[in-house]
Amino acid sequence: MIGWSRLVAALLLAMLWLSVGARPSAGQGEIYLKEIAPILREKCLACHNHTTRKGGLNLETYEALVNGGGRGAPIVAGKSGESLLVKYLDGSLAPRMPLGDRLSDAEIDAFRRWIDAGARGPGNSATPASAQPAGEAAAPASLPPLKAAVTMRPAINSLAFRPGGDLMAVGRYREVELRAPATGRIAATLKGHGGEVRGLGFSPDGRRLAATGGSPSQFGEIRIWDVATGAELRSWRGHRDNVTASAFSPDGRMLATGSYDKLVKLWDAETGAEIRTLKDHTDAVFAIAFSPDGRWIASAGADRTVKLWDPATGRRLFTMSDALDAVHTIAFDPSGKLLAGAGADRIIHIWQIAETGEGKRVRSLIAHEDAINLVVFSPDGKTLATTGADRSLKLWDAATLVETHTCEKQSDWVQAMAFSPDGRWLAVGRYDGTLSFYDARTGKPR
Amino acid sequence: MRTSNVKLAVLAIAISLFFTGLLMERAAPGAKAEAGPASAPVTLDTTRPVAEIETPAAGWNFRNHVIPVLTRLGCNSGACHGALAGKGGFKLTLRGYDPELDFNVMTRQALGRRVNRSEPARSLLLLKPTMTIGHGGGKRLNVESLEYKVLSEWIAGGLAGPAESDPKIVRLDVTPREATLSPGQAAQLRVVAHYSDGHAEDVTRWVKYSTADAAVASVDDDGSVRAGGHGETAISLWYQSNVSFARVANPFPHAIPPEVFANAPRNNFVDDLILRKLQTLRIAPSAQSGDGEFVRRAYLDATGTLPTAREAAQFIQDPAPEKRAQLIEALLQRDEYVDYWTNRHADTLLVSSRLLRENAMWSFYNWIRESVATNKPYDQFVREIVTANGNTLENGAANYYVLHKETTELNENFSMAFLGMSITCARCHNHPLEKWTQKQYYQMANLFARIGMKNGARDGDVQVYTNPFGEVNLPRLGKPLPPTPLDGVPLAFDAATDRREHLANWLTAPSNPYFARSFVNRVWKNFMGRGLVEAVDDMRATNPPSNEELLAALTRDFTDHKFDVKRLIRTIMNSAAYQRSSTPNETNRQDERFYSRYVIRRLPAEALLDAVSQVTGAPTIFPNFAAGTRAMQVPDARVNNYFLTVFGKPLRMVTVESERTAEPSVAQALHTINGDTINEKLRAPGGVVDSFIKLGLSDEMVIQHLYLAALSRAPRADEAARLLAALREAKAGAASPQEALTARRQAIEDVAWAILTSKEFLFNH
Repeated sequence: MIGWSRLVAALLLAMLWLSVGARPSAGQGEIYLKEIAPILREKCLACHNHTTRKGGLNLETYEALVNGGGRGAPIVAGKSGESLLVKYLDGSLAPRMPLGDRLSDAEIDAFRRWIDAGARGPGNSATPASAQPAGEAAAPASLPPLKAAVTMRPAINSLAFRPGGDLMAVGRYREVELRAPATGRIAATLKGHGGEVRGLGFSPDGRRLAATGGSPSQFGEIRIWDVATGAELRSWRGHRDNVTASAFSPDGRMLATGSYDKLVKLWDAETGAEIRTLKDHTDAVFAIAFSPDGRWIASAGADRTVKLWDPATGRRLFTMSDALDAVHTIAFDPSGKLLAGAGADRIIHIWQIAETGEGKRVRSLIAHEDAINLVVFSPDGKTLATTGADRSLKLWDAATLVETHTCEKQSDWVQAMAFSPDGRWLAVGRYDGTLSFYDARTGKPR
Repeated sequence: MRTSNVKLAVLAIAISLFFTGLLMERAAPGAKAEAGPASAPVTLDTTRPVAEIETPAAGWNFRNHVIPVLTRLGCNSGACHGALAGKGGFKLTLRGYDPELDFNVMTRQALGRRVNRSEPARSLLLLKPTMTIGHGGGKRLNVESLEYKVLSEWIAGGLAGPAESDPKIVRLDVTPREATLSPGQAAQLRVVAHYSDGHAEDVTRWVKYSTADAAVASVDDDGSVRAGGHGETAISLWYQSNVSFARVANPFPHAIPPEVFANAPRNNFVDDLILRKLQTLRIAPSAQSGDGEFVRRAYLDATGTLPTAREAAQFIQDPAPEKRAQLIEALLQRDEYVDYWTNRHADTLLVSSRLLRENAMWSFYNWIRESVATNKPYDQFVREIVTANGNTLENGAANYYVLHKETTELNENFSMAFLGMSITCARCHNHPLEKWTQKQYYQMANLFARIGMKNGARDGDVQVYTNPFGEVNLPRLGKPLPPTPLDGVPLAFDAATDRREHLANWLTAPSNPYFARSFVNRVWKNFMGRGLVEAVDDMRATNPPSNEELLAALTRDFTDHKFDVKRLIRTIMNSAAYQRSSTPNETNRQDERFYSRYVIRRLPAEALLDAVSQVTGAPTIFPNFAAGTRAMQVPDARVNNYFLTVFGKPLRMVTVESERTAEPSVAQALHTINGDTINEKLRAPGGVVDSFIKLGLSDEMVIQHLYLAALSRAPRADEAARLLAALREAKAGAASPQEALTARRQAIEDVAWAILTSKEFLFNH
């Protein structure tokens, strides 16, 4: 028995080496793409995908297939007869797969031939197997091209001011605009992203810009740009779904990302190396925030919780479970002692964070007629701005949660919102692609 | 030889056409739909090959195309994203009842991940159901399908949302509306939706189909019907909360000469319409009932009592040719008629001391009884309930609101009682089988928003009044909708008209499509054993009557004659259909739906107990009620009597017909055979057996009396001979005259017991 598992491990390593290191020729990889992957997609993925994972097995990607599930590695390269995958397909192990259906002899033979020939993957992956879904690495999946009958202005998904306020970044589909906030002039457009750019953050020194996003249900993506030159410093993929939010640590060394894949990841912002994964959310993560002193990371999501973590150890310190529905947005006040959160329950929740990291809700208010999508503190911490699916934009006295101004009805959902560093302006970017500025004292448009 | 075979075949077809075709338009299977008025252009035909389908000039409409596609694909079904918790984080409204919400969820929620505005072909909404990437629900969508075309072009066309100005469906046309098939034969339904802007679409491919009786005909997702066994069924159609149905008949193979129908007795319009249906389905009616059968059933159905031995004998011997009509007339004038129908109303109106003080319960009951006694027109009766105000001890009708403190409960029980339909599903989401939407539910509920109540001077005395303020919110929106009866005219929030007055006007209008019809159906079921619509409180448009023309004619007659309940009963009871024998013939053995024979059923609990009491001469004592009160006269649902409980007297907790159960149970059987009700009554001093002995009746007379009293007929010769022998035998073994007397009494009790536990006694037939 010991010998057998060692053999499997050795073969597995050899195989990984073959697929990742040796870069087999396109011809070998094509068998997987042309013959194997379509069968998996058609017959197996309904149960063996990254969310359902029947038997712990995910067959969405070559790497996931090789990694196997609860019963171990499904493939012994070169030996189809010893491969669990084939045994379940041909019925020599029960239950015969696919459940309630069976593959044709020709299809099972295709698996046998592929495994006997070495079970090579698509062979063009250049990043760690766990991080990058292979086979879809080159581009996100697509159906036959569809000509857009009308040109829709790409939505604004993210917004950030550079410290100092002389520049702002606006995240759209596959690109980031760098604009002069005063004039709106576009200084540069940073292109090449894999999908909607949903997170933007300047490093504290203002030199680098982290832009995060990815492709829904496929991969997350992080790109670090040199703001001065517009050059891409580094880019990498991580997560199994798109990154929904990201934040630089106040010292600029670390980048935290949250994803629809329920995970929070911490990265070395310089090298792109993954530092750790924070796994306790049970549903999509929608918001991430570092406390101003860098002691804590807060994350929130569809599981209705806000969690507070120690970034140094990855230890979870506290879970705030006051929200009644998905939490879409969180923000620390400048003192770092208060955390605001809001979401589908239409309520603004304010938690006081103790030295231990324990959060206690101190204020709450039903604030909108529909889900709240964003909450941000003004730089002086005195004002809170919120916006939601009711297309309203409201300013609040942060200390009392008394509404101070209701801005004009928004033309569409506001998906990105930020105060200018001097606190004078509130910039909003919307689903319909429009960008507006409101006077933070009066709530009137600029 | 060959020629003559062909001739025979042609003749057979001609005969079959004669029987079916004369009375019903014979559907050409697969016939193309007649799209309605020629002015309505069919701008979309979902049945055509996708390559031939043109994208509408205005693009695909979210409400009218995208939602139907999601419904057809099953995306928004209860098992998938339509589940209350959604699936995989993606939650749609059940069968698309809230397009505005679905639109936001599909385009914007979860950071707009589900559509890709810039590169539509990369939208999750397309990638997942086509299984281009993993999808928990498997492959649902083909790239070559119409549904893919609609979804993808809607995305690429700019993701237009639902608008107030979207054309609304005004009706669905289905063809064939009626089809006559033979076993195994198939027919294709076509469904055309007509819109408020005058255009029409063939939506056959997107409609949800279901069959009322899969044994008669099945239907697939594309509207293809296949006939199975004989009978008739309805294929119901649901499209975007609009409903309709097609009727599929699969006539029995019996060859019945036309004279059978031509010569069948016809007493009034009921018979014409029933015989027409029977002829279509090739079912011959049973013969007319005998006088004994008739007198028993007429008493039971109209008054809930058995005729006494004397009444039965008199009727049977009466030579008058019009005696049946005369009996019906007499029954309608009896106090027992009032007791019986008061009890029926008290069931639907939930009269009970559970929520009412005893004096208030009596006040409500007495108000109903008075209304029945004066034959108050049904519309007026209900109007007085709906608009009831004032002191509940003085105006008994006002207690209806004391019973219903919660508006949703009131809304639902009200609809069951007066519209014969359940709208409960729509409280949480659009009704999945019906046209009722959640908005309509809360618009209706808002009519009850301003009922005020305060306690009066005494216990049980409640003052019901109309509040000047008050609204019922639609929880989803957190605001009220204009008070509107179902499909009725909305009332302004600040209108001077009392909301209940508005409701009563709508409800009791002769044009109301549900009110009179549902009551007529209930009365019909009382006499005929089965509602024209069954169940009587399931009057969905997708649950059509077994004889629409008959229900329509009865309803029209009812409303044309000022909602005169006695007239309605008279019409039904005088029909030859009501007076048919329950004995089946060769052709109608399987028929329980088309009134080819009298449908037998067990006596209702109260009638059965009263019948036992009457035959045995030993009344049942109900604590708290005056001696001599019959079970049918007890006003309260809370009556402690095991017999009534076991035989299914309703508890009057909610308004639903099934509260009164007619289901047989072991407890019923055991209580009938071994229980104390029948046995104690037979032993009771002063009871019928006592009287036999005191009066010194002969064995013959005893048996004669028991038969007439319990079964409304004289014993047959063989029955009499057997029972006489049994009585003789009992005496013969006795050692002394005293013992012989005891043995005879015992034997008479046994004979009575045998009769009272027989099916013939327990059932109305």
